[in-house]
Amino acid sequence: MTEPRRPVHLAVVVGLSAGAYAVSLAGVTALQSTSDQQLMAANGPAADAVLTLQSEHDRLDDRLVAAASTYDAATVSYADISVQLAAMEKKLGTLATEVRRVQGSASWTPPPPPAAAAARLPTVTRSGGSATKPAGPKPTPHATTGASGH
Amino acid sequence: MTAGAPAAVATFERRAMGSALRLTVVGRSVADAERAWTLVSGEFEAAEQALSRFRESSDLTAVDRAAGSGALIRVDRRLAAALAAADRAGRLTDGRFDARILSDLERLGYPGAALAPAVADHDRSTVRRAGRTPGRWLTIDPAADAVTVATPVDLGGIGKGLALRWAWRRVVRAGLIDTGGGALLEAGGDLVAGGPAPQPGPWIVGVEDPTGHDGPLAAIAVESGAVATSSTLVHRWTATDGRPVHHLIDPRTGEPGGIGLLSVTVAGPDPAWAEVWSKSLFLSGADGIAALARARGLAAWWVDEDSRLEMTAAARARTSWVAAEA
Repeated sequence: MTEPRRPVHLAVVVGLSAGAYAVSLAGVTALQSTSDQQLMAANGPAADAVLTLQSEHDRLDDRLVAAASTYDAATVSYADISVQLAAMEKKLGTLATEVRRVQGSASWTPPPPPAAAAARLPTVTRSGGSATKPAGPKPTPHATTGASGH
Repeated sequence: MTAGAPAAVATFERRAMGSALRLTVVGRSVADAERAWTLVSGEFEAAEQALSRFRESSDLTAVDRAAGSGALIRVDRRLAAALAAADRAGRLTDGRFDARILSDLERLGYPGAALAPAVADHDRSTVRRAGRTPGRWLTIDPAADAVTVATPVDLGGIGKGLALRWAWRRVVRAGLIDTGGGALLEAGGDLVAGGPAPQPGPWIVGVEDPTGHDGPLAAIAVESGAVATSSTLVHRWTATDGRPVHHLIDPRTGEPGGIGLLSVTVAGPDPAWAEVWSKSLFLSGADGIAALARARGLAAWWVDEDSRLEMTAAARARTSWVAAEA
């Protein structure tokens, strides 16, 4: 009986092929990794610029929000001032009416004598009322003001 | 009294500048009260030596003697200040106040108008000739404390007010007027007061009745400040032409002014300006005094020829008692 021959050379070929494939795969992987690193390095400034732009945008957004808030407050103040101006206008109108009325009354009064430089207001006399209670028991003055030469 | 012991009320008095000079001190030790009087008395003596026209040796007599010559006379700083104050008072009162009325008083025969003998002998003609010409009558060299005047001047009223101011300032600067001690300083009807009075409350100053009746017409409450009065009660006489006249001359006319008024009292922070305004208000007459007093915001009391007491609102606020309303 004859022993069948085994193809050893096939196994060797298969082993060598697998080894070559592994070496190739490692080389390709290494090349790809290097390429990715270069690409990332090349894209770095652009990424930084994008981040900066985002930051500026956020800051501008904050300012817009603040400006909007200020505008709202100014709007409220303006509304208040408008109300006050309306009240002031009303008072001025009343005052103008009073002035016209006084001028109208003054036109009925006789003209002052030429020597009078100003309208004479009534003097406060001893017969008038008092805010300081000048009546009462006679005080004992500490001194008397009067003519010099005593 | 013993030095160092508290003095409830200490009073001092002597004659100065032709009037009674009185000092009342409250709440100070005897030593401090005497120190205050020494300061006051010394200041009045210095002021009188500088400002009096009745002293032959005074600085004012020397200046009046050289009036019109243009010669600058070195004087005490008080006289230079007083002349400057008189010049300013003339401007601020629109000429109602004027220190150059001696010739008018002399013409009217005022007993106190006589110039000091040396001045009279030398310059009586100058007085008559110069009169009160408008424009600059006073020249001061402040660096040398030297002055010259165009016409002899009298600083009687404002001089007394300034002496009160200066004496009071010395007492205040000595620390004798504060919450612990007060004083009242009088000189011939004008006065200044401050600090605690003898009783709780302000100092009380009576307004003299210019008709000569006893008792004040009103009482003024003085917390701190001055009161001055211009009145015709004392200095009245009959002029050489037989007219009844008084010493408050209106510089604008050369004649006694204040038609319709007997006296005017003014209260204010400073005795010199209270004196200036009392005289100026008096010269505005019964018809003009209310308007002028109000225009200047003055606390003023006045008595007219019918013996009626009137006052401004500012005066009413300081009035604690009125005889006619009591």
